Amino acid sequence: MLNHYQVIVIGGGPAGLAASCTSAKNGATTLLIEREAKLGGILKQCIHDGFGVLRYQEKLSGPEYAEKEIETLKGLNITVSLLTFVTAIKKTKEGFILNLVTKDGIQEVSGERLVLATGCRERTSKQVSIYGTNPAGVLSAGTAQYYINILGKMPTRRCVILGSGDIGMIMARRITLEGGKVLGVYEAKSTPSGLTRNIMQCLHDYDIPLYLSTTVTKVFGEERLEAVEISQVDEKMKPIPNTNKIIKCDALILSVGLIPENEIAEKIQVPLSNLTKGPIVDQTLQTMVPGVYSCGNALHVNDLADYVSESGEVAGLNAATSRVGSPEYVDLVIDEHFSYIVPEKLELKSPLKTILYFRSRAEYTNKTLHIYVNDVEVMKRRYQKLKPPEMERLVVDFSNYPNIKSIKLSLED
Amino acid sequence: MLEREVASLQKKINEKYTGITVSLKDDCVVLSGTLKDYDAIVEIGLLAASTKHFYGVINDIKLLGFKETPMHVTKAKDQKYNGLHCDVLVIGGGIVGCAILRELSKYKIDAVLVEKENDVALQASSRNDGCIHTGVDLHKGSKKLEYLQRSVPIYPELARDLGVEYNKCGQIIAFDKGVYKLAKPIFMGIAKRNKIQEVKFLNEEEIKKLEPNINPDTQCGVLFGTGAVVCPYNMTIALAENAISNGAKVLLETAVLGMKVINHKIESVQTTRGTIYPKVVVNAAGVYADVIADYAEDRFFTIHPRKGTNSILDKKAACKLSSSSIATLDIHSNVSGHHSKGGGVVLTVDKNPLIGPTAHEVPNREDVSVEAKDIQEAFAKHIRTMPKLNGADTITYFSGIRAATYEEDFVIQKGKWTSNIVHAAGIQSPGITAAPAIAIDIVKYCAEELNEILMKNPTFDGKRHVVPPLAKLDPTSRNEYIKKNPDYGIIVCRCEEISRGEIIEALHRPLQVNTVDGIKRRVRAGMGRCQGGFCQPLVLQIMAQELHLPLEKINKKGDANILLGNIKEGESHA
Repeated sequence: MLNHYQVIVIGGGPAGLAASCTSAKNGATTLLIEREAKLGGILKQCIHDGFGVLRYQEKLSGPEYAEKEIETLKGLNITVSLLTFVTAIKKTKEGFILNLVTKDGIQEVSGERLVLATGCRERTSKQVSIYGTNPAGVLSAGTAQYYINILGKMPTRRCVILGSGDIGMIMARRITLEGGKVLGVYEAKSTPSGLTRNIMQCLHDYDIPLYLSTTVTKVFGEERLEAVEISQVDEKMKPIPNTNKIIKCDALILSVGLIPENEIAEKIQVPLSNLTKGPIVDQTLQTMVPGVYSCGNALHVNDLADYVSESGEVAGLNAATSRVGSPEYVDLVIDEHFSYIVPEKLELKSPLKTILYFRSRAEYTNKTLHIYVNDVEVMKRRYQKLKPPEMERLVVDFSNYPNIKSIKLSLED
Repeated sequence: MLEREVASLQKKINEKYTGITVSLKDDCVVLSGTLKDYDAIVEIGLLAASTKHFYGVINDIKLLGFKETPMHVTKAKDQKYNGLHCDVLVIGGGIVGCAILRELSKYKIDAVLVEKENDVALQASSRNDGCIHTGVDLHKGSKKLEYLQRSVPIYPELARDLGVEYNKCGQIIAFDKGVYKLAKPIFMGIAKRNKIQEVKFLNEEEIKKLEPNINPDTQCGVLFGTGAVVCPYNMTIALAENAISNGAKVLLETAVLGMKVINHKIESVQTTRGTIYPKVVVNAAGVYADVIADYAEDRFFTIHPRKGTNSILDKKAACKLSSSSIATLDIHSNVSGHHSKGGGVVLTVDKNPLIGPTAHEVPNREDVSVEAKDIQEAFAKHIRTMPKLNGADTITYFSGIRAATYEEDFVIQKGKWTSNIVHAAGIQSPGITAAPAIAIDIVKYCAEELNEILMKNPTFDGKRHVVPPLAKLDPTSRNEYIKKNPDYGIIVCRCEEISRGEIIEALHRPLQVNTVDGIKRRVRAGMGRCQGGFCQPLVLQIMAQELHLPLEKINKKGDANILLGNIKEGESHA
């Protein structure tokens, strides 16, 4: 490891891999920092297929997809530092100074630009207000996935899954395939949280019931989990009295949402979006702190690894090449039918071709997306179906529109 | 004389309840009968104690239809310790039991501690807010105040010797309306009466400067400079480890089931691992202290369990405070009339805000399950002090049970009827604070009963030699550890920044640890915002490797395994 790099990428999952590859290809000396012993991030434990359909036009497993991405680093001027943990970071006039913990000691390294590809973490049982005892057998879907796919060990023989997120449904199928019994997937919301394809391929095909508007309210068992209490919930997701039922099981597996990990971003005062919980960025994926870029699930939780890689490329390219002095922003204003849009800002001095990612707030049929620049409609696009779990992607070249003062997006009937 | 008090108490009880009999056992009052309301049983016990005429309150009133959950014991049942003889047998591995064991290890005394669980500090000692209290809420003349006053000055050095973090940032009582003008004279008066040092009155400007996140309605406050925090389970573990290093023994998974008492003297103690023959028994059994006293034929007090629930928030939470703890005085309660201070917002040694504890009487001694209403109650109460408190910042929550007596004071004394038992019972707040001084007196009582002049242990080393939390060290010192052992540079727990080396070191300390939760308490791996989602599988693998056990044999806690076997084995293997 040198003590100075033009671009430092933090996180060696699909976003960080794409970012460092693109950064190096565009001539920047690049350091890729990964805290685990191997590159690939969470893909390493995702042995199911479905990765790479957009990026490689073929169905790959997580490890295969990771392998392809890791392969692209070969021959490029990238230093990869594994088992490396960022313990401190500070911003200086010239860039950033990072203190890294490695098995060789604490090392200081400086970088001119930073790409945060730190991924996301799972919400825990305490964050979704599950009360009762504190037994073994309450675990997140990602942890269950590690136990089964990496260690070949079963954390359950008979379980309840709370939350219909994609990992939860994928684990429902996985546990069933490994001889365990999944008693049901319970979802507090009135609509599923994961992709339709997963509902079909992971639940429906295996006769695993999905219960909507139902949640787990309490766990029982002093040592190992013995049972859970489920209750139906109203529109505000509050349990409805006298709808509770006890289900005997040995594990409760949680797939109740993902939170972008931005602890490093927060240490250098990168402003986060209330909508995505990731940094506020412009179309170059630069955050509001100059020189800091964000991509992948740290930016917003994606449903496909292919999009994660794509955003890594955008962040890596711009980190390597962009030289904006004082930025000039226009906000992308969305109406109430969106849950979020990325980016939230357009930087007018940078290239204006923009990849927009957005999710709708609820399930809609036959809505039209209208884009207004300076209150004039410049584009519209019809969507037969919009669902919050399925992220939409749209490329808009704002350089077609001169003198941009405002941008508004609305979803109309 | 006491008969008259019995009659008067009986009359008072009869005004409200039927079927309750009041009688005497020597100078102790015995309450018996059956009621259907648990709160009434507690109320009657407290009423009996409030007369202050009796030596103790033995409340045997049964709750109609209630069957107490049997005492939790682990699966270990053998004769491993059968026939063991020792000078002093300490029952209970909470902070008081462990402090006593360490104090005993300073002398040439053959000391053994039995703990029914597979680790120390599993009950109240790990289920509290870790406050080193100031004594502002305590009665003059109480044992609570006496032992607190004696412990506070010796705590910093003890914590330093044991390598346990001790943060003295002061406790604040804030006032927002009404009574605030009386705050200064009243609290300065209490401080003087209870001999509290380092007390400072804070006007509105001063308190808001010190605590910028406090409720803007705050008018003034009193800063008690001696207020501090420790990690209570770390303190307990440290005391036990240091005691073992100095020759004392800790027998885990060893539950006391009975005693043989002949002529007011304990001859032997029956446990789940065989019969032990001690010369003196120390009762530090927490919520089971009255049961142990009963086995010793020396029950003159009753434990009525009181549950407290706390929430721990993310270090990033916006309700940051700079003092160790803060609470707004509730004008509806008078400070000294309450049995528990009423909780507050605490900044733990690891810089997490902690909210609580609540206080509710419960019939079961070990029911530490958490209920939504208790969490909500604590937030609703303390949001008044810290308006930025936000439930969304919650990382975890837990409940603990206070081992309260009806006298609401510690029981620190030799046996009343049985000669060779010493009680360290009725421990509730400020038990973490008071433990060091309690230990000194208990050892004195043991020595008196052993009828020996205590000989100092010539090899006693009060310093615990342990790797400090590396993430809190300066880079140079941390580097020295990593240069010696590269495992100290491999981070396993990303939220709390805990290295592989620290986990391995904790696995090989004097007090054995074989659970994931045990490692979590010792080094904080899994204590952070992801609650072990990422690191639990890694910790499990390190433990299996270091302890030479299959992965399935590594438990979360007690007998609770995390992994159930190999994949592809089907449901039938459950």
